[in-house]
Amino acid sequence: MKTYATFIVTHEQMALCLQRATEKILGEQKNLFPYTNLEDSLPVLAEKIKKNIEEVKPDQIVFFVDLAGGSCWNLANMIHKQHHNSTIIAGVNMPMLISYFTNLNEFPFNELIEKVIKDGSRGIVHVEG
Amino acid sequence: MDVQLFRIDDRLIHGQVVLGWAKPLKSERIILCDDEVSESEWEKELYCTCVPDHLLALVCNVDETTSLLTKITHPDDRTIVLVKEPRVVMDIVNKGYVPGTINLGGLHYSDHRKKYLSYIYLKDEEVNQLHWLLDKGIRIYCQDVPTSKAVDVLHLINKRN
Repeated sequence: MKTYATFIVTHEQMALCLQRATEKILGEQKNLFPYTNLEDSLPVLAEKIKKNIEEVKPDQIVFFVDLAGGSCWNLANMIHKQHHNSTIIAGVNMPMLISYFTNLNEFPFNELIEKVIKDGSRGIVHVEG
Repeated sequence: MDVQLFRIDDRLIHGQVVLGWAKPLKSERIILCDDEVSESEWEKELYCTCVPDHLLALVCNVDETTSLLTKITHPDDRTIVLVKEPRVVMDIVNKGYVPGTINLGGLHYSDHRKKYLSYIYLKDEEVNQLHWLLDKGIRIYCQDVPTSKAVDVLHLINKRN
């Protein structure tokens, strides 16, 4: 089984809330690290994330960020550049996190990511008014 | 001539700038002024990729930025200038362009920085740099997004020290 390190990086407390909400449904998840960009500068956040990576020594690193083009996205890209076993998904939502943790180690990595993105989109449902 | 927004923000181009400020200000151009970023093709691309099409994003070093800024003659110029720390503004001033007003929009926590506001942490050295800029007659205010309350930097510095 592969070891994953998963980071949720967002504005405000959204990352922590997404972790709590996901774990409320699926139970505690291993090596899941939520970070907010609220007060720390990006180099400080990068150091914390690198420390997690050193501790976990993951085969794969996955970043979920809230907004492409935002500072969390920029940060994830900076770390991605140094860690080729990492991937970034922007636009994080509950359906994609649930899909991700439910299917971890069920699919080869590329297929997992493809599925997670698909399930994240499928989770956006509209009831016409 | 002044630009619309001359902002110190260690996150450079990000949501607060592109969405929070550029939209209400109806900006046309963002100049990211940073010697290091301007040397890195990869970083330039990273910062500019997500900028909406209606905004022109330029990454310039201090010399290029100063030269662009001194050429602005229109009183209603729609440019946002972004630098990551007060030191860069000093460099621009020393090269010959003095902004009238500076927005201190985000300097986040790192070693040796003390907290002033949730989005403003400053090293003592940076406080001195802000004083240097104030002595040049530049007005400096803190404000992360247009809808939040602007705080005069002098008030902030004096209150703490």
